Amino acid sequence: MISIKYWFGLLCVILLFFNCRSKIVYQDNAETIFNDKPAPGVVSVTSVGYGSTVELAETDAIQRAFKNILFQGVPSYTGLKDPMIYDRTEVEKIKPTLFSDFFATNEYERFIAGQSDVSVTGQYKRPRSFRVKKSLSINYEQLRKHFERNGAVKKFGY
Amino acid sequence: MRIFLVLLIGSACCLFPNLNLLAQAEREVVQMQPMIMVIPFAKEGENIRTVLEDDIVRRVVVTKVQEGFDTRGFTTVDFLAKLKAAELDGIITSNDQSDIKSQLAEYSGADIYTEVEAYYEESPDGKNAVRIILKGFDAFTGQALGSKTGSSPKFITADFSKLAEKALERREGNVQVDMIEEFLNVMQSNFIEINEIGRAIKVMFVLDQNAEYDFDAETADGSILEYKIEDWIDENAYLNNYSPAKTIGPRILFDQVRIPLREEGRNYTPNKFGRELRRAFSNVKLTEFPDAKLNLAVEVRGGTLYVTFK
Repeated sequence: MISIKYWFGLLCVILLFFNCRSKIVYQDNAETIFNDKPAPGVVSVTSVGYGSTVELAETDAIQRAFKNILFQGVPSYTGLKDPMIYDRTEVEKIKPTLFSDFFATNEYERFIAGQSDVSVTGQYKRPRSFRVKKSLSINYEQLRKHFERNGAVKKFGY
Repeated sequence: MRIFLVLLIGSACCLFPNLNLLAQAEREVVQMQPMIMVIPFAKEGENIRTVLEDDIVRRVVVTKVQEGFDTRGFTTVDFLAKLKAAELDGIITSNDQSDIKSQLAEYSGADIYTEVEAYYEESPDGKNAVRIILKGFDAFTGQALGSKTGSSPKFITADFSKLAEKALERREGNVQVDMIEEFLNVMQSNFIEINEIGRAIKVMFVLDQNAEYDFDAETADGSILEYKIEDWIDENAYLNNYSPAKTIGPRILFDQVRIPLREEGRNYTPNKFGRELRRAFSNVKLTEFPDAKLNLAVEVRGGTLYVTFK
């Protein structure tokens, strides 16, 4: 009969294995392209996302679209080619959790004016991950106003 | 009874603890904003008074630009309303278009102009286009604050107002061009720069026609008046940022002197700068007139300071 100590040791090894595996970190990219301007103050974009499941990759694609508008700009639309947040580091010195909370609490969802189904454009085995494309419409005008109220974006003027 | 009074006063203190603090609390200072006016460009032979009435394209573009400012929460000065008011008040005294603009600039109080130019591009095959130029500049220093230009694609149409809308928002290859958003973003980046390095004003020093001295006059401390002026500007321009002096006849002109938007948490205006200048020179004496102090008249017109030595 195998001793309890053996089973306990095996359990520890298994737990250590799963905890020590490095998490996949997907680097920020600029894979957000302009599609259309369906209404004043609203922009339709297609964004690429990555994740270990299709659902996670879809969320990543949506968040990347917002991150590109906020921090990098969308070169294919001249109205947003400059990032909305001029200096993220300066803002985070005063409000360190403003942006992390914005994404962690899914607050960005209220600026989504429309979205289409996600399409899987790639699947990778090691590590297991998916590459997806997602089209969505973002109310960038209200997004700007939201961050103006938070002091992250300077209101127009001096 | 006494206990009741004590309890009543005690409750009042608990319910309204911060009355004193509220009264003393420092109110947040609201940054003074520039006044912006959207104006049509008047070509040679055109009358700026009637150009909007005569040209639907410029009317459409002026309105679209004003809408753009409104969307950013910024109210502009209405050009037509100000022009009519200026005419009613007898301010417009000339037919020269550049004079009308200057007179309107002073009267309206606008600090910044956004000028709209629109050109029709008609071709013999019926394919027409509209070219639009947007320019923002400081009304007094002429400092450019942003410019954008663009043409619509060519269409067989005589609806030039539609072509103007196509010029403002159009596709160029893989890029969607939005002229007004881009223009406003450029202006905003210039405003951010102004916040950092100060606002530019023009300072002109002139001698009164009855003045018995000139700018080469020696001062009591052994300096020359002209040098004292330059030294004062050098010391008081925000971040030591100013353009070199230009001597034009009996005048000394500084095209751009930077002043801060705020000082000690409060709005700082060209008027305050003028007051400091006047205070500084009121104690200056000339060797030729040891008993007399300099008499200065300082006038602020928009973004220009006129300093007259009497």
